[in-house]
Parts: sequence; C-alpha cells; structure tokens
Amino acid sequence: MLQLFTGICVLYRLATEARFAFFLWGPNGIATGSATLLFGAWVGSALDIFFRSNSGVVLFLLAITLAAIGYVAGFCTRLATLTLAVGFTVLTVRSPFLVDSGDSLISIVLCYLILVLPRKRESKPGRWQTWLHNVGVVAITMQTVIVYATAGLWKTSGRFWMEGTALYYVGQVAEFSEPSLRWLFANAILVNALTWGTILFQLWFPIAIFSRFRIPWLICAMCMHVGIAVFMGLVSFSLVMIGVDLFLITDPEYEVIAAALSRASAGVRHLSRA
Amino acid sequence: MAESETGSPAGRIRLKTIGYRALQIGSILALTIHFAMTVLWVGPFNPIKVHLNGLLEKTTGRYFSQSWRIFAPLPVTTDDAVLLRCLTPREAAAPRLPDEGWYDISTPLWIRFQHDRFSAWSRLSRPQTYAVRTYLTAGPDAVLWFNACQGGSQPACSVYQSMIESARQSSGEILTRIGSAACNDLGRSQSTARVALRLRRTWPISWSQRSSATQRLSEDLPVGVYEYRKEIGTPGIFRDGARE
Repeated sequence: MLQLFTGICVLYRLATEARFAFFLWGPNGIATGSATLLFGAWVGSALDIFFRSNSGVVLFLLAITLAAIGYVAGFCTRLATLTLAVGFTVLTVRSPFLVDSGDSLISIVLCYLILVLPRKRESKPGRWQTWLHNVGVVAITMQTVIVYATAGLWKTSGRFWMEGTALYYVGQVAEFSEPSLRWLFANAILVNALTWGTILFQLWFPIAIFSRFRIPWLICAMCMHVGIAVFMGLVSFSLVMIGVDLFLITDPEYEVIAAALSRASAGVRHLSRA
Repeated sequence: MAESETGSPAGRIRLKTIGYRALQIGSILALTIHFAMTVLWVGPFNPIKVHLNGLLEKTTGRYFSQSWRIFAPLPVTTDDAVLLRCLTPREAAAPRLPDEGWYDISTPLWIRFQHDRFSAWSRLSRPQTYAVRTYLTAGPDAVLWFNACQGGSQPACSVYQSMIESARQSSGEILTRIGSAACNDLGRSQSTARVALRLRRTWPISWSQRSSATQRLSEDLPVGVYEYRKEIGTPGIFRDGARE
C-alpha cells in the first residue's frame, strides 16, 4: 500500500507540474540546486548534466515517470525503487523552495523501501534478504513514529495550539484554506475540539500503534489526512501520510478488515433484498 | 593437500553464520545511531544538538533532511504575498522606488488553487513566498538558533550567522530568477533593467474579534532590488499578476 500511495503521489506531482517543468527545474528557470550536494562531485555532476538543457529535463522526468509506473505496478521493483529514490531526491535538491514535508518523507521512505522485498518475493527466515527486509520495515515504522511524535511535541509549545485556536488561524491563510469553508473554523467548539484533538492524537500515536488501539488510531490518522487534503489542499502530503499509515497495518489485520467489509456488504445486500 | 577450514562445507556455513551475525549487529547499530541522530535533528534546541551540529548537518541534514514542525509551534497565520515591480533603467537609478505599478504575483496563484485543489498552483506560489521569508528570516529553523543566541549562547550565534549568510545567498539568486521570469511574463522584457520586490504581510483577524472585525490589516515590507536576467524563460504563470 505504501508503494502504491508513494508511487501515485510522485505521478500526481509529475502530472500536475510537468507543464511548468522548464521553469521549475530547467536551466533558465528558478532551480539553482545541484545533485553534487548529495551524490558527490562525480555522480552529482553526471546527474546535473540532465538539467543543462530543456530536453535533458524532459528525459529526466520521463525516466522518473517510467520508474514510478514500474514501482506502482511491481515491475522490476528494486530497480524502479532505486531509480525513483535517486530521481525524486535529485528533483527536490534541484528546487528546494518547492519542497514540502511530504516530499522529504517520500525521499526518506523510498530509501528504506530499497531494502524491502518486492511484493511477490518469498521471505524465508534466516536469509540476509529477509533480515534487510525487516530492517526496512522497522525503519519505516520508526520514521512514522518520529513524524507524529515530533509534530505533536512541537505543538505543545505553541500558544495558539494550547489555546485551542490554531486551526482557526490556519483557516484564514489563503494558501492553506478553502474560503467557502472558513465559517466552520469560527465555531469555538469545533475549532477547540479539532485543535486539541490533533495534539492528543499525535502525542499518543507512538504508544497507540503498539497497543490494541492500533487500527482505530490508524483510521483516525487517515481521516485526519483526508481532512488535510480537502480543507488545506495539501494533497501530495496527505497521500504519502496515508501510505505510511496503511503500511503499519499488518497482513492478518488486512484479512480481518477485508472479512469485516465483506460481511458488511453481504448484510447490506441482504437488507436491500428484504 | 588438506582442505582449508573455510573451503569445507562446515567452514562455509560458519562463515555464513558469522556474516549473518555481523549483518544483524551492524544493521541494529546503524538503525539506532541513525534514528538517534534523526531525533536530535528534528527535536528542539539543546546542548547535544549544538555540540553535534556540524555532524548532523553533514549526515541527517544532508541525506535525511526533514522537519516535522508542521504548523508548530506557531501555525502560519499570515498571508505573505510577493509584490513585484519591473524597473526601467531610469526608475532603477532613482533614489526611491515608485509607489505605483506593483504586481501581486502570489494571490492570483492562491485563488486559482482554491478553485482547483488538484493542481500545481499552490506549489508554484511557494518558491517566491519561501524565498522571501528565507531572505528575511533565514527560515523557521533559524528562529531556534536566534533565540538561543539572544539568550547568550555563542555557538548558537555563529550557527545563526552562517544560516543567515547562506539563506541570503541562496534565496537572493532564486528571487532574481523569479523576478526576471515574472517581468518576462508581464511583457516587460524590453523595458526592464532591474526588479524590485516587496512582501505584503496580511495579518489574521484575532480569535476574539472573529465575529466583529471584517478587515484584515496588512503591511508592506521591502525585500530588495534584484538584477534582471532576460534569458530566464516565460513560464506563463504570472500573466494574471494583480496590478496594485
């Protein structure tokens, strides 16, 4: 699921930003960053060659698009993940003022996903590939815990968060709000509940996901990110966060959820026939 | 000749076991160190962070850079719109910037984004806003170092100083390019010699006045006058710039 959501997120960004590619990453655009910062003089300079001409930019974006499609479809997964991790990170370094937290998380998660076994590959205990797969899974889990815990802890030192009015103020910012829904954020009960609820939810996340509250907590997390996408317009950030939330659901839990959904749909069908 | 210990099946198995154990211990150690450094990187200002800042910048900050201060401790509360004025050679030489003919190059992008959530308009408005904010304050992370510097920490002062210098250099170059692209988009490529930028900060209506106040207050902050580069393309995104 994480693979699907991060892949879709990259494809979404490419689809919406491709027509401005020369301005965002081209030699006569706003980009000033160099891949040498991350990959050193040799590899970095080789990667920078793509950005010396507009046709190079097109070629680079095409390679990332193909890698993202392969990554989502599960075709040559390891190679696709590696290409996507390098390619997407280079784009973020090239134009750092374009990047948001979701992009940073995609780059980091893609690095860990290189260790994770492809979907259809069998994992046998005692093999080094299986061990590295587990290392990748632990790393993604730890990273997710850090995201929620840090976001929650920082909020506790903010005046507007503690007063319970932070979301009212965010709701007035043109970049992150929907004017037709501003009236909602003037309601004291709703704003207080959502602001304090967010802090409580994020602070308890590291404990909740290792307890029997894991599934309800993850459902809340996904609802919160759907809300962020709708109300604040942070679509790509929300997609990748929903991806990491879904990653924390285990295979047996997916089976339980699927069984429950199938029982529910059977019940609805039975009721509609009656 | 006797078979070496590593060449025999038992030897190979022992080598594999040692390799596997080394991988296990090595990866556990690497994960522990990596995430300890990540926690330091994303966490608040503290003595260990100051002490290890150089190492953190070269490792976590470079390869796993992240900030989870999402709208915290203080959320974004102001609309920071970038205003632009393409200056003719005569205006560029004058001691004072003109009062009229400024274009708002941020608000039209936000409005477009509000009409189409699944678009790049919000992201396209970020470079100019973030670059101006960075130019003026060196970014949100610099606030921690600035506060510590104000509190008397000498190492924090030197970190803050280097952050300001680096921020001014990187954002200055980006603002030059954005300003040039906007003047090209506005059809001023023939007459422009330099580009002036301002930040219009619009403050929110406070919570206590939410039902009585209707007008949000705003102020204009001067940012600077930048070089104009004709070779920068015409992206077509600033054509709707709202004239003041």
